[in-house]
Amino acid sequence: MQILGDRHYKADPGETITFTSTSPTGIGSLAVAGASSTTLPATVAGGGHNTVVVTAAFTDDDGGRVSINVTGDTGADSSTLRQITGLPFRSGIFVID
Amino acid sequence: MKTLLRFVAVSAVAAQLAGTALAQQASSSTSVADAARHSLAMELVDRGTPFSIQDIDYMVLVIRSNNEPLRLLQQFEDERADKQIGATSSASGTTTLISKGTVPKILGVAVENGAVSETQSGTTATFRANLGGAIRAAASKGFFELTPDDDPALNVLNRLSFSVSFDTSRGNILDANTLTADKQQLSQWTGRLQIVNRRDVQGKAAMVKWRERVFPISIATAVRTIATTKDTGLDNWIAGTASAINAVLAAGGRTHDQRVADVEAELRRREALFPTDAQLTPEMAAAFNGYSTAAVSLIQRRHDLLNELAKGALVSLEYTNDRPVLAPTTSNVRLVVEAGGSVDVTANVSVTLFNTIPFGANRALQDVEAGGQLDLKLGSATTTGAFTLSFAGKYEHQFENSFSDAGIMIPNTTGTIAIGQVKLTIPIKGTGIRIPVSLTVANRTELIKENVVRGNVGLTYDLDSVFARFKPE
Repeated sequence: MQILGDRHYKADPGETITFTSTSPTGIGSLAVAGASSTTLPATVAGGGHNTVVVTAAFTDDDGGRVSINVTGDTGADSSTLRQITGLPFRSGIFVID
Repeated sequence: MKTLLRFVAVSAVAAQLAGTALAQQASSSTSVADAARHSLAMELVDRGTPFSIQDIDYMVLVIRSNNEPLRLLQQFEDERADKQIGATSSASGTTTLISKGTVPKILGVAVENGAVSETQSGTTATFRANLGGAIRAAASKGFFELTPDDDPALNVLNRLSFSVSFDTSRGNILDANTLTADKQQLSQWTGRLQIVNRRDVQGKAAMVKWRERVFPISIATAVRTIATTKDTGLDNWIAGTASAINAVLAAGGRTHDQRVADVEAELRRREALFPTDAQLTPEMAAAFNGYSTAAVSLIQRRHDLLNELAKGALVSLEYTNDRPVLAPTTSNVRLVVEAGGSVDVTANVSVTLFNTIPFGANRALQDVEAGGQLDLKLGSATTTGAFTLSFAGKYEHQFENSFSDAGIMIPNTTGTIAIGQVKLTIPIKGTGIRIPVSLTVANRTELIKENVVRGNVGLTYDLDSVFARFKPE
């Protein structure tokens, strides 16, 4: 997996990209093509364009943050979803080509 | 007038303690939209990546017109009136008659003037901290990460809190009413063990409910639809906003705070140019509507769950060590039980012992107390703020005579003390500051067998809300 930009990756065909979270308690929601989930880890197969959205729901009104780790067979990246004050959730859009 | 002047003088101490964070918070929390814009501006200054589609939640939740999700958003932390920040009732200068069940996660500061059940009136500054929260804060963990996990030691520490109270009227006469926080001013310290806390929004039981009721609302699916839908108008607005903010950030000779203010102003200017639904493609407008529908559902379910959790039971055990200047030091053990919701019911039972039996006393047991309090939550967090009207009563039986601050035993002061109190706690919306104003009536005090009517005012400041705005990397 190559990092092309902010939350933008290039994966080899058949490579498994895994999304995990540092949050010990859970994540809000996750969406990939044709499927949604409420927990991590989740995996996506490389080979083609894919948009993965992870939304963290926060229990308080401010200060929430969670790191999302994106790991391929040959590379990894980490991205932080920071809560915007007063908004109860924050989404991260990950693109895999 | 004398009391008022002293109160104002000590309030200045509190302002110094709160420091820049208080001023920063006050300027950024006039509304949900203002607070969100300020928060995003701080992030954009620090994060190193430009404004982009990654900020879609801000766009749809804050900027979009006819915004139902924004209308629904509440600041529940400000609504919580159940935190015990001030000193316990035995401290000089406290407005507290009945101890409440929870304490702030990180650190609370309270400055109170007056006295509830003692004859001496003074000014007390109290600092209260949750041990687990403070350790994690010191370890640079963010607020969201202050959650119970599989670390049993941290779970125990999260249940422990401590406080120290300083009587500012003590110490060097030249520094009268100045907080020096030295041993001379240390009037009380406490330790509290939270035995039961059904109100912890991040507790294990609560997390099960979050997963069952809130997380299934798939905002992610709605965001993915937006991210995969082409709309030139939206793309151009995002590109224009990113370019404008980059230009602001590139300007030199600015402090961090000035850069944040500049980005905030630019965001506000760009918000006016955000495409209306009529200017979006029908597909994107429909995607925005799908997002808003999911957001409304999530915000409503979150609101309902937080309200439900706020009605949970609290049980704690508190130890208080009182340190009068010359009178005997005492230890108090108090059981605090609380339950309710819109009407909170709190009960206290306690026993006070002399640390060393003083000359003239016959036993270590000084007194036993029992008390109760009803808290009625009034107002709304979204308008006036969540006022709390409280009615409290306490019964105390003294087995031994009282001691004056000069350490002199006052004869014939054993017996029963009955105290009633009405208190209105007034929040200053969006600041974490509350002003408790109370009227207390007692059949006598510990030193004087005469009826007493006393008014108290206070200032409590919850630093959870400041820490929540401070997001360590």
